[in-house]
Amino acid sequence: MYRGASLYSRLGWRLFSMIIIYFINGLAFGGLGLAAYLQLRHGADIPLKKQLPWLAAFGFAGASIGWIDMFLASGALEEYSRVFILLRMLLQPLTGLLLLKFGWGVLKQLSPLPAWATFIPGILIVPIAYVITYAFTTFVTPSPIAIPIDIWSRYLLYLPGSLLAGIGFLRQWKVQERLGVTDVSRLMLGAGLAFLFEAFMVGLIVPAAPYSPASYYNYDRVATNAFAGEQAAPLAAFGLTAWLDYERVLEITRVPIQFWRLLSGLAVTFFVVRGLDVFDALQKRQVQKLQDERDQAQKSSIQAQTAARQTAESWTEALVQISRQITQLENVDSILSYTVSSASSLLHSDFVGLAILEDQTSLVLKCYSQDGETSFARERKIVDNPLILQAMERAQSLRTADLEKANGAKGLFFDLAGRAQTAAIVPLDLDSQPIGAIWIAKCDPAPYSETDLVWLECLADQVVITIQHGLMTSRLQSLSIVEERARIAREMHDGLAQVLGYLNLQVQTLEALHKKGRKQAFQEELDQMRRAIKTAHADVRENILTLRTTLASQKGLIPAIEEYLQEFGIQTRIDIEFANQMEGDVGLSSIAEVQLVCIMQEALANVRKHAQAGKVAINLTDGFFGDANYACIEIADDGVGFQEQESERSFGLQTMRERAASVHGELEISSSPGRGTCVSCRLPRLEDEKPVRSKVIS
Amino acid sequence: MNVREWALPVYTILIQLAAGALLSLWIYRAWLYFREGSTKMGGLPRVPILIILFTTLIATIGAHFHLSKPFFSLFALLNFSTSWLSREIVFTILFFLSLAGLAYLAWFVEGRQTLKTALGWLAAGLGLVTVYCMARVYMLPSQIAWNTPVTIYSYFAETLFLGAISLSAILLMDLSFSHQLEPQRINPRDPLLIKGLTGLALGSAVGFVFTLIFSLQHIQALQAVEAPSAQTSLLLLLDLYGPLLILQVALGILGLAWWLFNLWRHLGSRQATTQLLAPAYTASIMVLVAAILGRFLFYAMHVRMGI
Repeated sequence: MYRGASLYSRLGWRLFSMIIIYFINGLAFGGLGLAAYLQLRHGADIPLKKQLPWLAAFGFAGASIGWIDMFLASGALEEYSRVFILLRMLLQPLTGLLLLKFGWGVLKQLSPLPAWATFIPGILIVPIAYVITYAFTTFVTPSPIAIPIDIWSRYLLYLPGSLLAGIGFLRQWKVQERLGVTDVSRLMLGAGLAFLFEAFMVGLIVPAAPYSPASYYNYDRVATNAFAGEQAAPLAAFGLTAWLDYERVLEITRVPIQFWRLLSGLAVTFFVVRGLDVFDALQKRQVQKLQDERDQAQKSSIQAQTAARQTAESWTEALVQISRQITQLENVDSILSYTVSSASSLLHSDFVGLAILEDQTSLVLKCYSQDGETSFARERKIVDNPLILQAMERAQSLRTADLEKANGAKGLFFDLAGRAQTAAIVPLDLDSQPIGAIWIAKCDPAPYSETDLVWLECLADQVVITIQHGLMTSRLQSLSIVEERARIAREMHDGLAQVLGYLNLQVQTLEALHKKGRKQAFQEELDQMRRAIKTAHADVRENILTLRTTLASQKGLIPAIEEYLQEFGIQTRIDIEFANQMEGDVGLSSIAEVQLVCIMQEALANVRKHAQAGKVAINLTDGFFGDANYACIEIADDGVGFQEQESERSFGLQTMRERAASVHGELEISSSPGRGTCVSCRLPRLEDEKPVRSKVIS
Repeated sequence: MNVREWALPVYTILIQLAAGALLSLWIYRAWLYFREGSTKMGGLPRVPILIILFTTLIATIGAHFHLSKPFFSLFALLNFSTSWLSREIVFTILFFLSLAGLAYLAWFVEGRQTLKTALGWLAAGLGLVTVYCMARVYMLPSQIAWNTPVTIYSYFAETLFLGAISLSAILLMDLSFSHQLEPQRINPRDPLLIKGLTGLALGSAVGFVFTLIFSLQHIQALQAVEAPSAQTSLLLLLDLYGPLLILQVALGILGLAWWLFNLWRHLGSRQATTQLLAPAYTASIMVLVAAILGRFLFYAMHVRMGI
């Protein structure tokens, strides 16, 4: 403070203030240069990025000039004053060139110029060339060289450079305003106006000189023609030119031109630096926004992929489930019901209908799903919707929207008629013959897609396969029953014929013995005949029972077995104990059920014929062997037993093994003399077959 | 020099530029015709003709600032039979009118290539005649520094130098403009144009060399004359305005060298020809400044002999 006061008193107020002005001016431009340099190092991708080197250089050069002026004005380092003056003479045009380059870059690169702007330099080339030439000629005039350097740097470099930068920033103001970025647009406006102010203060107001245009407004101080050395008549100042004079500016505004230049420099620094910061922030915001959009897009993509995968999984699961039910020969109606229910949920339909063609003429509704509930048609309902009939006639799937317009709503479904907007129909074909149709409909006006139709066709294929398998199974069952009946008939025929033949011989033997009067032999033969008749009677009764049991398979396996055992016990007077330890259905295929019954009957027949047993225990259980679940039946008697080696030769036992093997089962016989016999048979159950998930989904 | 004195360099330089550019343009056009046929020749851009016309207009307007009573300039036509100044004005007007007609044909009339060709050559001829008349105006017995045939030769050499290099810039500006408007149709790298630019560069180099030769001859001629006016002119040229003379030659050499260097680099590259616009523009400014300086020195070194 003391030193400052001393300096102030030495130099006077005016000079002191000029030193301060120069110092702050240098600081302002130095700050501008530093900010641009730091932004450049930061590597931010901002619109002014390519111009930052020129701006930084301009700032540092301008700061150097400001501080050189400060030293020159203060008289400090006077021994270096010539160096300072020389430096200033070099720096001034250089600063102007840098400003010009920066201004051109701002104008051209911040926002593209129209095509006709290509000709502007061509139009300006002549006046520019003349002004440059005129500038060169003034250097040979008798005035210190620093003055023409100062003047022409301002006219030729500072003025156009500031104008270009100002116009460039004003154009950018308009661009940002259109984009709605108000904070940036205001700064661009401020920067544009600051540069225009700079153009006026720095580029247009020049020191006094003995040549025009500087001489026009310095008329009261210059009266010499620089070239001819003659006394030229002073020209009266007019209008604005009076203001383009250092002395007039001081006179009117009470502050020197340097102060106004300081203000313009501060304004330029403020707006440009703020603009750089805002550009940087804007860039970061945009990058962040782009990143957020990218994350959102990725998330949506993942969600879409997950949804698609879930949809595919659901479809696969449904189709596999249907296929499994088909292979397990489950009830056809339950499979159709499941199919219709799957169509309703997977295709997001309000109604699903399945109709089957009866007698090749009438299309009758079989099964339907409405509002999520699946039911079978209780009464016979003829489906006469023209769209469905058309699809069947053409054997072509179709999807349609705007049903009311197409007159296709009527008869399509029940309560939704009139509200339904769109439908898809797939005919059912078996061996190129129409057998029915499956269709879906909804109240949403958005039509079903091609993909939906493809999925419905897949379900339709499953329905056709279901119906086909059902028909085949019925035929197979019928064939098995017919085959079994034929076997029984053969056995009955063979057994009975043999017995009758034997009885015929025995009657002849009895006649002979009666004639001979051999009463003892007669009685023995008669007893033998009685035993044969009894055995034959039992066989016939057993065959009849077997036949009845086979025919009664519609009752269910367990009731049929119970009925058979009860009758067998009555016929043979053997104590029968039957224990069913299985919960629910036995879970065997129809053919396996037939074979199970036959095995049981064969085993019991052997008990009756050979075991001489008083008690037979039949146990029906289930169990796991390996990965599969089996239905196991065990027939154990307390009879005489036999050597197990004999079972290898027994035709009946061999037949039992073959029956078990034919349905992928196993038969074991354990017996020993005096200890009874145990026949164990296990047949694979259908219901616990593990579903195979498609590896593709996982 | 004041404004009135600066009006003369404006007029003379711009007329030389226009005449030289038109001559170069029509030579280039003829070369295109012989090489590629009438299609290419007919497709020669109309914009250069318009620019040359505009330059002539500015020159004509600028010339009036030289006169104390510009509105009476037409009366100068009355002395056509005796005055080179009148002839200069007449041929300037004819040059301008022929250019205007050529511009009209180029912009508004399809085809008529023969008429356009003929009118173009006529305009170029009128331009050269105008330059000749300009030079003859200064061949005054009272002006020793000007009264030499070298004045005429140097005027023509400068016409060729200025015209060829300016036309290069004009053609490149037109290519850049057309490419921005129709990027799909206009090829930014035109092999024919590159060849044309090479020819123009060689033409401008020839013009510059002759300008230098004639300047040296002029100095030698002045040195050989012992008259005080001649020696004063020489003194003004070499002493007072010596730095400007050096600057004039240096700018001429720099401008031409800069242009030749960039053209040579471009020939070996695959860049778009429009990239040559900035070097062509810079070279044109330097050459124009050199030409104006030369004209300034021409006027500055005149010393009247006698009353």
